[in-house]
Amino acid sequence: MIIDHLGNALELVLTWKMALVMLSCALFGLFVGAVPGLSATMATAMLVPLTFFMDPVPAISAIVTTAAMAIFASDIPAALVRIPGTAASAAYVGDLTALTAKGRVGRALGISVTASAIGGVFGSLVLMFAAPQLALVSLNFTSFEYFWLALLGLSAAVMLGNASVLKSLMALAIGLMIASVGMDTTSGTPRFTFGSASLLDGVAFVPALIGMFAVPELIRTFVHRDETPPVAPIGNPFRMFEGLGRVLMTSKLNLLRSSTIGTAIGILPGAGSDIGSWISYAVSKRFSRKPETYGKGSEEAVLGACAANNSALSGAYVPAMVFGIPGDSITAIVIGVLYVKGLNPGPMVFLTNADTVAAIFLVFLLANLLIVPLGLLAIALASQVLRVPKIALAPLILGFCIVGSYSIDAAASGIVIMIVLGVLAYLMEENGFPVAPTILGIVMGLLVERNLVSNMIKADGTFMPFVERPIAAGLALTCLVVWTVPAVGWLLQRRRRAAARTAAKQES
Amino acid sequence: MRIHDSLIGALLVLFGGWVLFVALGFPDMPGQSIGPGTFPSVLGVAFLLGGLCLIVAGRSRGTRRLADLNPGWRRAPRLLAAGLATIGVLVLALSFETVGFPLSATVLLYALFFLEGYRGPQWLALCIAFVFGMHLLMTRFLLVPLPAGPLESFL
Repeated sequence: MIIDHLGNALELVLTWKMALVMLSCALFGLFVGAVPGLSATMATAMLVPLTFFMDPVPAISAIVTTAAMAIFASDIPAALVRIPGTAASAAYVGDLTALTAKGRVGRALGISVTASAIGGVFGSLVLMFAAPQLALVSLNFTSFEYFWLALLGLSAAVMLGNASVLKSLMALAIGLMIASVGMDTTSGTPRFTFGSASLLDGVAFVPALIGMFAVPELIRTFVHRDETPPVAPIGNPFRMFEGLGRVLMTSKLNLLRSSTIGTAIGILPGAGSDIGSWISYAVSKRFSRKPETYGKGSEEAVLGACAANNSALSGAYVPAMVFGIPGDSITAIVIGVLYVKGLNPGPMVFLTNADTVAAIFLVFLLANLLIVPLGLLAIALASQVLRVPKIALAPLILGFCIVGSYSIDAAASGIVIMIVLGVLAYLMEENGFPVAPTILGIVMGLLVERNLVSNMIKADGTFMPFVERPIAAGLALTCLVVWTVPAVGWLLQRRRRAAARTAAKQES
Repeated sequence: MRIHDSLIGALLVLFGGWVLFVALGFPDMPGQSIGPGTFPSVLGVAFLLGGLCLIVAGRSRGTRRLADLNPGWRRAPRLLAAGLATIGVLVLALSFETVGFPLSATVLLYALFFLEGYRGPQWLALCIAFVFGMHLLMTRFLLVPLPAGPLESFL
């Protein structure tokens, strides 16, 4: 049991060296995360050479602290200039920017920092006490389960917006279409590349994310500047927590549910951390008393999705530690560092290096707790941005977008992708097509297609294998419920209205 | 810029048709009835059906003008600024390796400030400081090889 080794683990963690490593990495993660366009993956990858000179626990703590901070910090540019740092934070960027537009940016970031810490701590506790057992469950996921899970995530993206279902579906199809550009993963056939070698690898995700969120905002700032209201400054950062206790108390169930969903989905390798916050957002909306406020600046929505975002990150470490299976690019880096340090991930590491593993788990916990004080500091510094009029800030934001899009692959094609998709997103938003499903379509497209094709080959033309296994059947049923409940609700509402009209006619 | 749903629907139908046409041309995998064209074909059909639904929905709402421009687009400096932020960035991307980030970005950013009414040496100085600061940060600290163009030897 991990708990038996906590004493020795504390000795490894509570040292000046560890405090220095964690603090400097936290500040570095905050800086990279808060720069629009720079990602948590980039921050962690840059630290890898430094970890060669560190002991195992400080090395892992450097990566984990940087990742946790960078992922939280990416909510700051998401709220201030509408550039989300990850696919997961794209789920609630609409609510963050709407809260900022309403002059409640301080509250939005206060919720973000608190929920991120709570979600992260929740995920870390699950990791500490139930990692081996949960990892075994995740191993039961085959391509059939992944197919349904991806479909559930995509359905959530379509259902969670306030736009028409038809337009959301079309937006999702656009995203899936963008994802299918490039070399086909099963046969190697180039698709929709127009002969361009840079498109063979597909459409890079980070430039797409920057373009689809930041560029429409920039165009609106340049063209529709009379319609953009000035944003109220944050003021005293400590006042961000005023009334937050009440919000947390009223949404405690939402917080617990979102953290659980985030952790549970985050555990699934390959897909988890990206769709955790999207599914939790949809579930939270479904159970909310005010679902109509979602997407328009709902504090409840930000609270749940932020908690799910960070808990999914902790969840992704479960298969990484137990089986050495990376959940995402950051956990892949962690696995690499573990191997370099001789802590080969697998069930045996819990027996042979129990003290070190317990110390690593403690580091996960501490890194998430550090989000609160350091997050406050970052928000206080970033809040200065709001003092500058948005129109004067726009060219500089464009500069960040250019650098961010270029830096991911060190290729100018990233800048082209950013602008082309940005203009497309502007036109989509102007005409009531939500951008969020498109982003999720780009992220999940390959996963959906790969699993669909391999499942169709395995199933040999029949449908039964898709629902034969219990988890697959459960997920298929959930998908069916997600698709049919809104339609049934709409039909019932229509019937009720027709009945009321007939009754009113008969009375008159 | 608001476009009538019927027109968007028609564009989606055309796009879906093109996707379907291209996707059906992809070779099947040996011994399989599916291949690289299967998934795009499904998407092509989705665009066709979705486009048709949008045409019907748009027509049922009546035919207004096919496109409505926001008043901001009719003001030359704003139109120029938006054009510069999109087409200008595309040009910058195409000449990125030869002209380099410092020169092209400084010109682009100052032109945008100029069009927004922020004119004068202090704004030019801000652009230079921002662009060269970013270049230093990315190349020296974050190890991203941002091209410097003709300033390569100087920087």
